[in-house]
Amino acid sequence: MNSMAIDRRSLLLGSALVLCARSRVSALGNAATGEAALVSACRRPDGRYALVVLSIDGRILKEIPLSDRGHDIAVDRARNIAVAFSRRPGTFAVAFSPEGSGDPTVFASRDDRTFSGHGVLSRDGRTLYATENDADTGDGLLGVYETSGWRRVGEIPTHGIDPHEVILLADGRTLAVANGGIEMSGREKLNVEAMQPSLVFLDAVSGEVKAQHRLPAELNQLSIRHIAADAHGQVWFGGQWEGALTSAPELIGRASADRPLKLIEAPAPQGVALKGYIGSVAVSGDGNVLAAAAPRAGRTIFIETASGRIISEAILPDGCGVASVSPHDFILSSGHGDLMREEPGRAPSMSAKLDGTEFDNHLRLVRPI
Amino acid sequence: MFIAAAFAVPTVATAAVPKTHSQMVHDAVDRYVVPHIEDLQSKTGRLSSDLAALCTADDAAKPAALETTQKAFADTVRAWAGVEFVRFGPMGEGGRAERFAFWPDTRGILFRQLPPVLAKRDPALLEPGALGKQSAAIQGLHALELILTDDKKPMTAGDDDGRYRCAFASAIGANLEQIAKDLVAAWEAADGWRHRMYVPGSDNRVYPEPADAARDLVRALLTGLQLVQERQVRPRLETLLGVPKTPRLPFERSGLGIVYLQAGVEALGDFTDEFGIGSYAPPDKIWMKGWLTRAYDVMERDAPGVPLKPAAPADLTKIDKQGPEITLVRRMRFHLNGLRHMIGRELAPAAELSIGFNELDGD
Repeated sequence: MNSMAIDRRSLLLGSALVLCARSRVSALGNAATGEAALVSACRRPDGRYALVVLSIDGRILKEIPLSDRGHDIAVDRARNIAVAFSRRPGTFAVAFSPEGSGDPTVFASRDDRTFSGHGVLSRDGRTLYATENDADTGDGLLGVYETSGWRRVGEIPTHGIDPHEVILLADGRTLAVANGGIEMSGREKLNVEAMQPSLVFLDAVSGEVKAQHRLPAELNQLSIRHIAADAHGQVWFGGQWEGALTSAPELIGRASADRPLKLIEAPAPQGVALKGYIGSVAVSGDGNVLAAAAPRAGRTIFIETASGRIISEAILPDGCGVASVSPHDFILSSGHGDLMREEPGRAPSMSAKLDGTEFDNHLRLVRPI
Repeated sequence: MFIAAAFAVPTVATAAVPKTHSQMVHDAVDRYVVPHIEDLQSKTGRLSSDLAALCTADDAAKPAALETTQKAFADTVRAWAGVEFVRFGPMGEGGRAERFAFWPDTRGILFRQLPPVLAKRDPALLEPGALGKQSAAIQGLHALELILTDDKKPMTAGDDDGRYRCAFASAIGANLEQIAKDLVAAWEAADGWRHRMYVPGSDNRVYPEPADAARDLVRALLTGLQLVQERQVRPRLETLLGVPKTPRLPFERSGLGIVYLQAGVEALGDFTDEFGIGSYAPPDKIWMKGWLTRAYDVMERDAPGVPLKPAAPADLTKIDKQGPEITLVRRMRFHLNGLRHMIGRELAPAAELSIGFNELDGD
């Protein structure tokens, strides 16, 4: 750790203290009630950014103000730990107990690294892997952090650029990383013609590459960004097309360590209709259904993971957050403050609206139903 | 602003009956987007010609040719401010916006990539079309600005280095003209983006409903307001308030930052007028129509007084938070926030054109 990083961390410690003080006065309810709960980053009616822990009927159980826009939240439900990441290129993450009343802990990225908005906790809860970018070279990395003190203890190359979501597979040892493949400066794209997205499988301990899959050259502008694992050993991805919208291919596909990337084959092409953009994906509790949210189209597509067949869709304007909450159903959230419980093919069983609150891209379950 | 005058139509304040979604799309596209894209083509064409002339001018003629080129550059910056927020459709394809003006460059890619490229003097990069395939950072307005304003290694020097710099600048000019030409073609072709926006329907996969096309225009307007706020106003205010490490301001080096700011504010006001969303003010909030017009007027009036490159306070304990510069920039921030809030949360929903948090700027 260089001295600049230490200086910056010290500086951010001040921000953390401010944030903690504010979080106490902003806790709107007791989250330790035992009821099912979700968490999402959001923008509140006064324009400020926050994390909210919600009951599934939309009551805010806990609120943690953020100094800037958040993105995804890594959750260890067994240990009541969650880590929210700032939106890329982010410089802070917030660790907190979704059900507790303790103060959150803010920790910073290294001065020469930025967070990419996603991370995942190890099965034993001791390690956090966060997708990051090397600010100088643009190389993709997983920052490795000890959860005991949120100290950065190492990093693993993702063998690509612009890593976005990382997930831990069922073996508890393999990490799948979506390398978006876009060279960036901040949020500006440097050369979309030369994009090289990939899906890489890494050993979480050694960092060894178990497999790396790329799309064919004609699909190199399909940025692989969000991923989820199903019950059949497959990793599903939702992509974002950087080419001409009118030529957008299918955006959703799957792969495994020993099988290459394969896009779905829909009876009617979906890429253009989904506006070339998938904002998040999740797999149902039984692992048999993938939900892929396309907020620009206001549609969430449900796919049978065994066959790759589209089985239904939900209509939710600006719907992007999607969390599996039981073996068969999902809760969807939107930028208009909607929450909708959806079992594919059936009418929504619950919906709630938080007027003025705009849910950010991702929704996670922190306490099961 | 003169473009808007040439296509003068009812303003926000006088539009009595809300336009239909279809009318909104037609007016915004025909009276604003297409004329401004054409203007960009015209301005980049002039810039490209002037750069080519500069490179072939004899030594005696170079100062005048450089001055002409700098004026053409300023005109192009103004024209870019008029269209950069229209990021959907042709502008969103193949990174055209980033290729035209790579900003913000938070990693300093331009400063890393351009000097070695100029030092290497690779003639292949000067071939027609070659630069457009290179990194976005070195092929657009900001790369050209860096070359035009480099006093230590002037592009007008008569040595090999100066000649290559001039030729490279000329290649950038040609690249900018080509991007603008491609934009015009993509909008105006018989089956181009304008047609696509005008003819919604079940066989139109991009815009099945008229509201879908109108929604893209709302998104463009909100994006434009956000771009001015985040890239030009907020950094200035933070600098004046002593916030460390504020980002660089666009066109600071050429001194065109305020020209760019003013052109951007004027453009958004003109676009708002043509689009007609102000006429959707709810009956109990009819004052919003007038507020929109006044907000743009005040920003246009204030822009020339905004500091080009604000100085950070020498003593953080003695910042005059009521000082004239801070007051001016704060007022601009207030109006931009107000416009975004009013258009995004009041007028667009009233027009049934709500834009969500995620679809506006996702990840």
